Amino acid sequence: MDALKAVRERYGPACVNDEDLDQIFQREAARVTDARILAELLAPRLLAAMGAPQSRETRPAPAPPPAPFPASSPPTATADPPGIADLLDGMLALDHDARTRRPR
Amino acid sequence: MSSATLEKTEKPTANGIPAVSAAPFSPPATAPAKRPAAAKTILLGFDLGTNKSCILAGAAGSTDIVLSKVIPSVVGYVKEGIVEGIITDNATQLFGEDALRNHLHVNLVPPLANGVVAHPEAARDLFRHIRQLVDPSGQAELRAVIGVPANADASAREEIRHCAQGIFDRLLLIPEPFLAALGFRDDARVGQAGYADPVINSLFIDIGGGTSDLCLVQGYFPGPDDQASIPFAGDAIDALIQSDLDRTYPNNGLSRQKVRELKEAHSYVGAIRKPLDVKVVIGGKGHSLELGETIGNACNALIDKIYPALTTLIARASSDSVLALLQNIVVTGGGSQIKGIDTLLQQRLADDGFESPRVRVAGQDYKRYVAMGALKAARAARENQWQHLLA
Ligand SMILES: Nc1ncnc2c1ncn2[C@@H]1O[C@H](COP(=O)(O)OP(=O)(O)O)[C@@H](O)[C@H]1O
Repeated sequence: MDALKAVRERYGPACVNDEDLDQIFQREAARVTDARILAELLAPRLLAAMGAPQSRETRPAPAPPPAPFPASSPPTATADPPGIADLLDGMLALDHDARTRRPR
Repeated sequence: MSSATLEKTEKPTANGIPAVSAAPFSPPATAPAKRPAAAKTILLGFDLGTNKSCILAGAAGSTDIVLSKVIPSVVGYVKEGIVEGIITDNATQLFGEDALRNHLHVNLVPPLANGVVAHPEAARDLFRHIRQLVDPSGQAELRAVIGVPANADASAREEIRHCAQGIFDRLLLIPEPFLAALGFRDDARVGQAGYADPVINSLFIDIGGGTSDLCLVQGYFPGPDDQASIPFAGDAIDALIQSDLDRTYPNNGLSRQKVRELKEAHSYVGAIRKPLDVKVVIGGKGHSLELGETIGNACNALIDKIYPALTTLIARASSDSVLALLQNIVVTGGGSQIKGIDTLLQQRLADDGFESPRVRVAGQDYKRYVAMGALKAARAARENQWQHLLA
């Protein structure tokens, strides 16, 4: 707020308009909310992935949804969106399970 | 989001997707021997549908699309005794539109029935045809990501693999709803504030000809609890319209195909719209039929069938993901073209107390999303994720 006051004093009251500011605040608030939701979503999965590694052979069917990140490539702490290849790992683990279980 | 924007915005490094590792590929030790060691690699995104297939292809390591095609999933085997010259180049097999156009001279064989391979030889011939389209020289290494129905079992997937053996060099089979979400997502916005990534949390409602398939897409392989398949979709709407027309206009002589065309031109859900006068030719004479009620009732019947499945799946989402999920409900498939379907589903959810639901339709490009997602997956797949197919 002090920063805003200083800018307005220096460049005049109209240099930053309230609507723009409002929008910026809203956008930032939404970002924080999104980040929080994402963190909430990912935390249990990450814990599951890192805390209880299961071998492919022993996992029962139907297997629980694997974490979007395999334990071997944990995401960075900044909650980047998971890469497609990481998501594919989860898909393929289950597909592999299904095939190796199938009687030939 | 058109396919044109996809082509432009699809930069592998935007949105944190690992850079395309596809180029340069080192030649796989186990690749079919006939390809030269320095063969170029072509990636294929393949939506293998019961009625239509969509194929997108591009060279590995580039974002260009070299082939984009939607073809009816049908192979026509030219009948014996057809006079020379009737069929172009005296071909013995025709595909897609060509086969349908020559239906009098060929035996039409659809490779798939209900989403799974029903005629393996026809499926192999269709794969060979596609290989020929994207790589006429036959020299390239071809890697295909093929969408499979979420409820396809292991043997259905094995059958596709079997059919692709010796035609494609490497393969990845991925559930269709996941690919649809991947195709639908706006990669440029992934990671941006306020953008809810459909691949991570969404609900896809795919209304096709035979079935309406609902699936939670939450970044993993959908299990039985994540999906519902309802044997009521476009064909059932056609049947309802036809039986109602037979009642109100006996001896109308309208074929099922004509009924389908009328439906596609005038479909809507919600409050009955009247008058909806439609001109048709019956027995060579022009008639005007009032179809407002007939079409409205038939399309509304679809909503009554899918809505309970929709709420059941929403109820299965975890409490920490459900709010975001409600923001990301996407209707796709031919049925998504029914006017007002998004608004009505959204309204129903809101009326039932669901928190700020948002239902969208996939839009004109609905036929391409699975193939787009498949091509994106092909571009992002790691070397060790591909399955080798030996010749
Ligand atoms: N504008 C429309 N209004 C209503 N239904 C439509 C419309 N366009 C296509 N359809 C219907 O969608 C169905 C086909 O959907 P599609 O997703 O292409 O099928 P599938 O995935 O089963 O091959 C058909 O019943 C077709 O009549």
